[in-house]
Amino acid sequence: MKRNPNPSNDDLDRLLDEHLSGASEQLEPSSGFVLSVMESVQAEAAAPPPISFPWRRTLPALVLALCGMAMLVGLVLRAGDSDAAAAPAHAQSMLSLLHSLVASAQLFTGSQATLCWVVVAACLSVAAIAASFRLTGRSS
Amino acid sequence: MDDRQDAARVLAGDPSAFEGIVRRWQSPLINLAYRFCRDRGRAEEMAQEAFLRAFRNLASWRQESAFSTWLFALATNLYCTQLRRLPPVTLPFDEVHEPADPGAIDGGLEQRNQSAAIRKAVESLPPKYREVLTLYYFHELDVPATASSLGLPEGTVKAHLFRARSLLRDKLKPMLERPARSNSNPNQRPASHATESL
Repeated sequence: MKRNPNPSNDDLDRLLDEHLSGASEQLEPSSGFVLSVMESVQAEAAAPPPISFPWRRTLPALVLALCGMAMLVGLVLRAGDSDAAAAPAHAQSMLSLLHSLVASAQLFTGSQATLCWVVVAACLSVAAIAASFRLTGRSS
Repeated sequence: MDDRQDAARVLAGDPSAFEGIVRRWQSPLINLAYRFCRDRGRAEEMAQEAFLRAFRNLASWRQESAFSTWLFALATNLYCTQLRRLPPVTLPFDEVHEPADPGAIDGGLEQRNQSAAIRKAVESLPPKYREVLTLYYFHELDVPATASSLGLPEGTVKAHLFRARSLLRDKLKPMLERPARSNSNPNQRPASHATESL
């Protein structure tokens, strides 16, 4: 038998078609397949709809938090400027509060400062959890 | 009852009407999954997940397209995602053994060796080429159906097919150089129209 020295696209297509087409090696679904799918479908249909996120309640808080963050960043940036003294009175008071916070943090030694930050983080976590419980408690 | 009527009943609040859809499409979806993973158990699990996803998203079927197009696109997307996350065991392309000389092997064993070599060669392709190639032959050489199942432009499908075939042509060269006898199959469709479309 002679070999085909120049295989064409047709030869490759024929070979792949023979082994990969939907007609080759047809699997029959197992007998319980439909039942199994329908059980999953019925369970899905019976499940209560997912609770939507309470955007209406959280949106004002999120906006406030973002505004607060923006204000804080603005104040910190201003504190870096040399002409911070030209800031208005309410900004001056916020700045002095920030300065006093930073100064008091600098009084601590290394381990005390770490402990301080841990306490602050724990307080923030508790506040976040309490807020979420309050929100979900209201919605239910 | 057809898919449209069953879908309308499901959307109206009768989930049992989905059974008609499952009965009609179970075989194609399982076989499509099997072409991707070559594992019967896993193919059924993947098909079941595809049906569940179809049930959840039935409202998103815009009825201007055929139900089969929508269902195959959804299933293909799921299968490709799942197999990229947990791929079947595959060999690197260079480690695929080339088929032995057909003259030295009897017919049945030769056929099995040939099938195994072709599957391994296909499995060793990069996923983007393998997925296109698998779907193209599953959809009986239909580029538009392959493109809509994968959500790709037809040009991209043709380019991926071209690249996949040139990679496979190198790997399967010994098999392709055989005389036509070994590839003759009376039940097989002529493949010449496939190259015309590319």
